[in-house]
Amino acid sequence: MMMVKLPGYEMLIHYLQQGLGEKQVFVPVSEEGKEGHVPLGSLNKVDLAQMTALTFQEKPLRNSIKSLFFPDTETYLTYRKEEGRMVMETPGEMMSQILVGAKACDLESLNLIDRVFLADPVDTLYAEKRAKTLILAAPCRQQGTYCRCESFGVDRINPAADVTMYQETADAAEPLYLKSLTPAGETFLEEMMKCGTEGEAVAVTEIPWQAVPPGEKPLSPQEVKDQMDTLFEHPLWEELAMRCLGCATCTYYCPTCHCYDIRDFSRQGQEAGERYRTWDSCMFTSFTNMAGGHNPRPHRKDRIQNRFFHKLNYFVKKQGPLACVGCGRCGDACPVGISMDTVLNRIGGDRHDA
Amino acid sequence: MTHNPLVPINGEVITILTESHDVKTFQVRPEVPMAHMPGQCAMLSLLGVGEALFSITSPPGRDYLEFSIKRVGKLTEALHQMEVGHQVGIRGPYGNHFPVEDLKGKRLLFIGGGIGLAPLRSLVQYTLDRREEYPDAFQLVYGSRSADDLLFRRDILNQWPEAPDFKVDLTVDVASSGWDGHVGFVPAYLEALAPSPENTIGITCGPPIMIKYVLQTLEKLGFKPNQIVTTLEYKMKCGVGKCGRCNLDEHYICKDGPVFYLSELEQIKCDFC
Repeated sequence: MMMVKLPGYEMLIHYLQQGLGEKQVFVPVSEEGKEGHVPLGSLNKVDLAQMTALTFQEKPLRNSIKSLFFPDTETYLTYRKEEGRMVMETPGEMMSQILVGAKACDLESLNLIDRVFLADPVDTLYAEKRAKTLILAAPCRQQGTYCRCESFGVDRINPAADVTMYQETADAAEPLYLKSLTPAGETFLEEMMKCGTEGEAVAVTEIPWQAVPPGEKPLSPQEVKDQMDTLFEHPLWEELAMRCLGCATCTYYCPTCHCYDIRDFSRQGQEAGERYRTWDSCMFTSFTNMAGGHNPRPHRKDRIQNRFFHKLNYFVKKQGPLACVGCGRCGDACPVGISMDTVLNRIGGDRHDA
Repeated sequence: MTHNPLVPINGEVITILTESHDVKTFQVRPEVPMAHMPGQCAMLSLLGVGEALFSITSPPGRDYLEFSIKRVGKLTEALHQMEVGHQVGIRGPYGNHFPVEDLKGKRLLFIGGGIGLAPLRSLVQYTLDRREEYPDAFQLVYGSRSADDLLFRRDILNQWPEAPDFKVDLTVDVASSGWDGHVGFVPAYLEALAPSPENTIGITCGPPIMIKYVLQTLEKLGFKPNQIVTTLEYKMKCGVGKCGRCNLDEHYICKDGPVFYLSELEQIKCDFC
């Protein structure tokens, strides 16, 4: 393990900017209320104060990090006709990535997606991005006001990353401490210091950072699953369907939702084109509507029920954990205020909501 | 990095048979041979048009795969425009298969409706190819909307009735001139035929509504849930249990199915059965 103290966030950004030709670096940015990780190289100006604030805020960014590993649109095949034969080509190797300022909840969501995408047969598009991304995470000192990470067993203090970042306060002028957690993280810090980055190696004990211990007991996936089993025929789903607009915003913001569609794009009268995958949502009728007209989930009630059952019941049965990290984005973004809590409260016996 | 499972290989269409006004059977020879078992499926695609999962209707052990495809949408329309020598993208095979080991020493009752005979046909032919392992009586109850919609005529009218101890019972939903066989829906015809459940496995595939009533009828005839096998169809995109759309409870039909015993389906939160 290696520990480094830099005079400020600026030194880290300065070092990352030097290596941009070889690596893609994603940093937290908020522009007109749109929060997410964007390529450092695409910024005209680095707003250090904002970047520091976003890195060390006690909640995740509005847009999750899943798009860095599972882009909303991704071409995996290009084709063209040559001398009557279809020639197919797959994309070349990707550039390595560095992700700065990930939160523990989002990293846990990647662990959940890993269970699906890295299972046999391995999703190579996702696996390559997982393997080639170095993650610098920032722990949360306490649980955010609208966060439920503790209920979902996320260790917000010890994110599963290559390097953890600490600052005493979220001020860009404060010293920035970096602690490696993996060999790749250690190599990163070593190289950063070798390049003459202003700063010094320090002992772990020097980090002026104290976290508030978790205050909530994690939900038992088995208990939630069992409770959901009793709710399958419940009128709750019909009630939620009356409110739900079917807009799928919840699934796009959800860091664990990983459903996708496969589509073709063609040029020149179908003689050349691309096949790509793109995020899809179980909230849409077209998700399950078959050619010929049969739809196993024709009603909004069926779809909303399936969505919550997938997160709180089916995933538990197949994989073990709940398919939710308690980030709160779905409820935050939902135009009609349906959240994970809406269902969890009902499981807990509440009758006022929905 | 290993091969991306979503990338197809090329296959050549070597034969096209017209089964009915809206169904054609395509023999496809993949550029790399694909070994499958009865009940499994494969993704066929036309680059620029789309990709969909189809059950493999030919038995294993041929150097081609057969797909019987009903013209119902954009992709199937384009597939129907193909000619011999054309190329299709192909990947697979996907899913589990019919429980061929469990069927040994059993009487086999096949119940099909319309294009639903396609996956059953692979199993019928597989067991006929191995009659020493499947020596007991076979019965096929098969129906379609009209006499013109009966598929695999060479099999259901000639080859299979001529096989030893193989009874074929056909029905159509709607009578027409030239049809002197049974008229009526498959579940009702099945009930009237009343095949004995003794040492028998019933295997069914057809439109969802037919499957639903066939399952009920078989139970009424005394078949136990572990004597009833069906194969299901959902919209599928990846074929490898990741894209999320074909789930039935915690199972993905493309990977954990499409073949299920009724005893398994009874444990599942099922949308239509």
